[in-house]
Amino acid sequence: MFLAQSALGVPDIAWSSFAPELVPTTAALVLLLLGVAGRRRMAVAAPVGLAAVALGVWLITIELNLPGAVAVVLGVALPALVVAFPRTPSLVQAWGAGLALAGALVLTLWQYTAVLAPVGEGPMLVQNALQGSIANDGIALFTRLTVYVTALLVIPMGYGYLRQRRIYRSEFEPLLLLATVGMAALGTANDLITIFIALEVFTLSLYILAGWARRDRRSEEAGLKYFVTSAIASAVLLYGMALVYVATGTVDLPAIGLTIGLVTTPRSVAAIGLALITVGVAFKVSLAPFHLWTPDVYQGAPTNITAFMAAATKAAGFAVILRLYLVAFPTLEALWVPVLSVLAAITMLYGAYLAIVQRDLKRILAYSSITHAGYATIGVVANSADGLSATLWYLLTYAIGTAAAFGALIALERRRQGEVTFADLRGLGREAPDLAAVLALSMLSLAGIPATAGFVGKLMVFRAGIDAGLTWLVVIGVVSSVVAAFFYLRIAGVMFLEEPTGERGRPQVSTGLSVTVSVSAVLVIYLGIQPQLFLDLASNAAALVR
Amino acid sequence: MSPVGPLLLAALLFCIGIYGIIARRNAVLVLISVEMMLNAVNINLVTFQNLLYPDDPLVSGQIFALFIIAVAAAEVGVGLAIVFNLFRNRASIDVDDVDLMRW
Amino acid sequence: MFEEYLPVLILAVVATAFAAGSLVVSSLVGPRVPNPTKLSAYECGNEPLAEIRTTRFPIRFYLVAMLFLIFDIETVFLYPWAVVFRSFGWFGLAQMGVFVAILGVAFVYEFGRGGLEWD
Repeated sequence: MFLAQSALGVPDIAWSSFAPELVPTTAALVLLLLGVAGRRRMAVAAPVGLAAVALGVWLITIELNLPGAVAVVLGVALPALVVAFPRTPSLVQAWGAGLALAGALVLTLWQYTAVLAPVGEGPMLVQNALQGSIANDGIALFTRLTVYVTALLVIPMGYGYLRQRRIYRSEFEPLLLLATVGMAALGTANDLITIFIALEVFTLSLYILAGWARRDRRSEEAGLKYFVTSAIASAVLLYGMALVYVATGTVDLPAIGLTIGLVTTPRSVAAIGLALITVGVAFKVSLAPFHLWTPDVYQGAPTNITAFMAAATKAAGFAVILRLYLVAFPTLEALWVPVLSVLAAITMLYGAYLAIVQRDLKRILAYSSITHAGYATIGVVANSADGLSATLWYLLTYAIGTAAAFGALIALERRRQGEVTFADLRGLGREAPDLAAVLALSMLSLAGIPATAGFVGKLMVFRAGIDAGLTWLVVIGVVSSVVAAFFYLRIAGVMFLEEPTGERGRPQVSTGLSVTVSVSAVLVIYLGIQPQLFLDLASNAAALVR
Repeated sequence: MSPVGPLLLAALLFCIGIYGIIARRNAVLVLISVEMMLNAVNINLVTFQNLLYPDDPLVSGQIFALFIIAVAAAEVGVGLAIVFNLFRNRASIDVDDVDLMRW
Repeated sequence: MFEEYLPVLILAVVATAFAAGSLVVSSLVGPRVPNPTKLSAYECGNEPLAEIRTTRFPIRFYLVAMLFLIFDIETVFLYPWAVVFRSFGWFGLAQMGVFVAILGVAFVYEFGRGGLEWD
């Protein structure tokens, strides 16, 4: 007991390494309090705002201009919002959460320019902070970008939808922020304990969000199914982590990577641990045959939450997969590459096949998300720097395309007040051309048609697969893409080529939704035509903490 | 101390948990099974810690177990709330009744 | 090692033997004159009205128990912190202060939502 006292000192805290996460975490706590403050909202907002401004001024005096500016802006914005929307507290929540996420995004970019890549064009530096439990590298950067952008798109998207379904409660934004923080932290987690905690932070929030419409039986069913499968996955993952811990004697991922190579390490124990960990993470990112929960949960959950789950959890899940396999288990390559390749192959074929026979649009998108998990896995099994940046880039483009698709779906669902099938799409191109165009564009991107973001992603992933000698897997991927293109293009075709059936009124598009959908559509085209900036970022991002 | 006993206990607990999740239809019992699996991991971690670093009580294994305990409590809180909501909507907590969408 | 604990062992044996012995002896030599009043539930006890399995608890019990459990479990982090507290000094105190403050926010939220009111 006493030896521990001598060994520990005051640890060095590199605040910059997790600065982006601090903003939404604080915002979640403050918004939680604002939600129950009632008439005394100013009593919460004023002191918190003042403290944030003071912190910001202090940061500026020590030459940290951008973080200081973010703190000042947020500190001023909070009381201003309370004053501006005295009758609608839900708008304060939504704007507050949105501004906090924007702040996190700004801090992520600040981190990249000021901390990780201080000298112009060279490869980015990597930062190893908090005694190795956080790694600030390419995976972290891209996960943050993807997750924060997705969350920023989801908040305005769902505002009107939740209110129309009468399921808006003030806890929504805090839970969404906490889930976002968990996912972003998963991107930086560099030891087993941090991985576990980050994973649980976001899954616990998502259990509640998936069952958000508590009177709706489907939503409640989604919550229960997600809870049970995800809890099993966590337990299996933990058992695997415990075995890896005993085999290597450490929970630090780079140290595990070094130790597994040694002769003294019991490789069989480590291999069993690796197998259990693979099952656990395959559950989380829904690789077949561990995908059974995905369609039901995605169909049952409120649509804006489905959008968030489909887009952001994939990024977080693959961040942890990339880090585990490329940092901790590179020496067991002979074991996990074949297993993950087979899983990817099954996933791509099975997901595309099942998507064809579905009628509900939400369920089709759920199967499509399973298929895309398969494509992203190709980049992982390529086990190279190219594969790494291909997967990161793929997840970003997939997230934006998915957000656009679900945004269009929300507009249709609000008209129909229920699930959307092919019959509802007929003739949409004539009734609401702008909405139909966005939906068609997102479908083209998900199908990987040239000049959209999805095409570049697929190209990179397949090229990384071929370079790694996995031609058979890439062939399966191409076959699966062709099958998948069939149902994506069928959705687009039904909208523009068939006649509308009966009077149904226009789809309801609120301001927030149209902003979201337009922004994601612009991003899909921009990333498809001008990908160079982000491609450079992605290839820079291949630098890892090893 | 030989680690065989605790490790066997942990493996057994884990298997009972898996069995419970597959075979039981009562949602509360499913929840208990999940907790059993998490606690099996805790036993494992503490045993491994004892095996690897018998003289140092405050390194990662035990701390990991503490975090799992805390997270498991939060998970029970959320899980019971979900089960409670299930009961309020359907007057039954049989997980086989939850089949609006194909499982 | 073993010798140090021998007195404890002897004490445990003696205590167990004494308790068991008095129960056995009183049941053997004591007079037994049962009547209905004697056999009924004692003082404030009641005859059970229903089978235990079919009674339901009000949901309040669940809520309070759950809230208690979660806050109770969080103290798990205070113990390892208390062990190494001295070597961390003011920094460690501030860090635990942040942790407790976050718990405090949860508590205020719970209070504000009415989770602690019985009716």
